[in-house]
Amino acid sequence: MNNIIIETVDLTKIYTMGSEKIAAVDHVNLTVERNEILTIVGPSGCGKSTLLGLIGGLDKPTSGHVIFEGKKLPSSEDKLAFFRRKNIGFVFQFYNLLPALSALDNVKLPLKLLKIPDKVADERSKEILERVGLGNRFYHKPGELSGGEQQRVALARALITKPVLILADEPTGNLDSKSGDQILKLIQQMNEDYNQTFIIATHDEKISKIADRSIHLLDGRIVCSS
Amino acid sequence: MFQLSLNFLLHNKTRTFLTTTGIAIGIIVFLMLSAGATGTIQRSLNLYRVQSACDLIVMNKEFTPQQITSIQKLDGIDIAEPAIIEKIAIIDNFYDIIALPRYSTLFKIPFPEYRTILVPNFLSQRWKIEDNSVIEVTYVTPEKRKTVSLPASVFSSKNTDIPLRAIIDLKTGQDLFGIYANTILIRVNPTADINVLKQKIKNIVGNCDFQTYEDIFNTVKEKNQNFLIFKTIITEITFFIAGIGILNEMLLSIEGQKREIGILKSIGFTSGQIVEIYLTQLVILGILGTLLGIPLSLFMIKVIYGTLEYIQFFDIIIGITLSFFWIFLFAFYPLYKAKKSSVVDCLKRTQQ
Repeated sequence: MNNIIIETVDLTKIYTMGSEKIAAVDHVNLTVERNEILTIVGPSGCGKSTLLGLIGGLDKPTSGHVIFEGKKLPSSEDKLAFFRRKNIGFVFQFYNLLPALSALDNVKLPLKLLKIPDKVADERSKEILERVGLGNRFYHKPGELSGGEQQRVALARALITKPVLILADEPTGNLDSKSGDQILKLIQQMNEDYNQTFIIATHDEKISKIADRSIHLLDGRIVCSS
Repeated sequence: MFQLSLNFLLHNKTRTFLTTTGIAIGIIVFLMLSAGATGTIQRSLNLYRVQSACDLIVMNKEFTPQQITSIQKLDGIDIAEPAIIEKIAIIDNFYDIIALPRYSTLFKIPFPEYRTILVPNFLSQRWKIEDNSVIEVTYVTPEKRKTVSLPASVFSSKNTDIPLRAIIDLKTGQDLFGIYANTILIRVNPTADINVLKQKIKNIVGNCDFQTYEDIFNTVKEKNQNFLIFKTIITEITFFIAGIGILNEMLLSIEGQKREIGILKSIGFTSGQIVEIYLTQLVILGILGTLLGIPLSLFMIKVIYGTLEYIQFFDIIIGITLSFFWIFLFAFYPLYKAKKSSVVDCLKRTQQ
């Protein structure tokens, strides 16, 4: 089995702002191995989030392409949605939980899309929420949870379908250091327990410490890899 | 999807309230106007019924006195009277000449009252008709030519609202047109079956034409067509205004919910599934609006018109259909926007 999970080939994303063209991601060639924790670091506006979006199929490249488990990402919106549903878990800086739903329902949502029976989905969601330390917060809505707790719910939601790849965009960027540490610990645990691959865009040097590898991005280009 | 839609609706209480109210108002306006239109028709009809005093008219080229006597003896017929209804031309105008028995039982008003029949004023001025003058009217058919003198008063009137019509007594009519009667005016007993009676009359007189209460109803209804068009326009405007509110609310809501749309898309919801969530919300709102609008409409109709008999089941169905039509029409653009939203764009909004 090929050990490379993600490969980007000359991946480029150009935004047009008025008459100016800005390359947010500029001919990026990158390979990520299975079970790896990779961090993408760089200053604000260097293209970290855009690169994550392209890898996760949230955005389409201007040129180049992404190869996931040996296959090019599909181009149609619906196929990309199915791809994300099956293979990718997202964690965002601002948690991005649905405010209308409880923690349990937020976590259950990806399972519903996979048509997992409600009872099974319920059990699995409770199990993972307990795993991230929110066993007493099942029925709380996001507004009733702290930032750290919300991010743990978001992590649980990203992990619930056991996707092979987790893309995290500044997962600790909005948290205090204690909550940030808890999230990092969870990421490490999940990586070890479920052999999941993590690509994390971050400013946080602590995350780089737990990473297997880091790439530095500047003006949309990889300037160094360590 | 239903559960998710319901959660969104419960979470966005203001949107739910405003849209439901908009739909309810649309339904209320439609049903109120429908009741108004039906009430107007019904009242006109009742008035016509009282004034016309007969509810079945039988017409043929000619009826004999024996035929009329036989019809008068039929069970279920309260009154049957001979009459003549013909058209005559004076200069360029056609007049309906209606010849009725001088002491009609059907028409309670003493006959001479009907002599104040109406013609345009210009005619009176041109001919300088005096009440005691006499007009010679010549009736010409391929077979015969007959001239009678009619008192000018039957053609003269200050009132020009009523069409060109002159009522004369039956004897003069018989003399003028040379027939005993070509029309039988009938009041049917309320317990009698009008269709059975029609068949019995046909057995006596052979081929003939009937004009029934339903025909009169349809005529009145046709005359109310303009009002129906007016009602529809007003209703459409109301729904349009309510629809603009819904559109505005939906757009605001979708702007506000772009984050949710982005999240749903990032989890793996397809555009179609997101549209489905919104449509489900609209259907729920439509049902809520209908459940609120119909009882309120019925209550208001009862208060304003004092009866619910003017409201018809068909109007309720039309009201609901129209409200759903407008909701979906106005929701189309926001839904299209929601469908086309890019995930990155939606999620960027979260961070702004």
